[in-house]
Amino acid sequence: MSASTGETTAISAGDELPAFDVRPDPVQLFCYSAITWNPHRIHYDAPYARDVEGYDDVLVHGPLMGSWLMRLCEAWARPWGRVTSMTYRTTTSVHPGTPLTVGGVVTRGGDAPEAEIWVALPDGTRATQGSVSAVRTGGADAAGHTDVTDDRPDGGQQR
Amino acid sequence: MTSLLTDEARGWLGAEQTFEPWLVTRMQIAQYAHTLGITDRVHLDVEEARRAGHRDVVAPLGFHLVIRHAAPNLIPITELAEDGGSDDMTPPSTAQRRMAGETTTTFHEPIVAGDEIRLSKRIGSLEEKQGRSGPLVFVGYDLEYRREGSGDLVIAERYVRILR
Repeated sequence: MSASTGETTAISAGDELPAFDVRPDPVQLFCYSAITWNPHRIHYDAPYARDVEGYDDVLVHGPLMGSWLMRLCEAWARPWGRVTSMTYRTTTSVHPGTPLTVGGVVTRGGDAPEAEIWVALPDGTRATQGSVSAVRTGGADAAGHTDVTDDRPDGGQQR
Repeated sequence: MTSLLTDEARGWLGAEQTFEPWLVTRMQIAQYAHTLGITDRVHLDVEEARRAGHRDVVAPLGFHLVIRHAAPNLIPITELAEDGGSDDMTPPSTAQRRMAGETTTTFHEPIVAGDEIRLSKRIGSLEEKQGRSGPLVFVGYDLEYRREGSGDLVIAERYVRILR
């Protein structure tokens, strides 16, 4: 990567963020409930979610949608700088098993770039959308990082 | 015009809550990273983290959500509601639904294993509006995550909860 050899990578409007696909399943929801100590039934008790709350199934946590966006933004900015702020909002309920794409596009290039970000359903509907601001810091942070996310043969498809 | 909020609830504007300092551990960071599918070694391997200039393994961006969501639920489970939730500084109302609105987060410094992070929360705005399907209440929370000792602001966040 050019950033790790000290070259300057220009960030331009229209550039895509390093998108990835996820398909949340009950195991991932369990782990997210556990690490965030979230005992809310709606994320693991399917009969409760259906019969009491009226949903088709348990719900993917709203904060998990935000966590994916933060994973996206950190992977985007790390080679040349850091994320300074993010805004996001989830407007559509998501059930486990739904294939999701986490992505974004740069809306302002330069040394203090901005991007639009989203978690999209298969039909393109954005279940979560928002924006991110970052700042170039000279790329020093990139040198020691070894991220193998993009090296998997399936192109990053995972939970 | 009907209102969801009681007069008592309107008095919640400006209410504050500060949680006990949260000790961030390597194990919590690894659990968060694996749950999110994050593979960068600086989150998992202390030597890699130190080579990259960090004091210890560094938390992925977003780890603060662990503190934000876990802290209010660290209460006896007998005090949780029937749905497993906790009221988490929600003003009393006749609303049937509680929904997440917009979150805005400003990142000042990374969180690193060994940090003690103190979360404080303040109701900075409380507004009721008439929506198409009836009244809506917007509760705006201002959150600060500060490192114990130095008191440095690590993350500032504004979160809106919608009651309807």
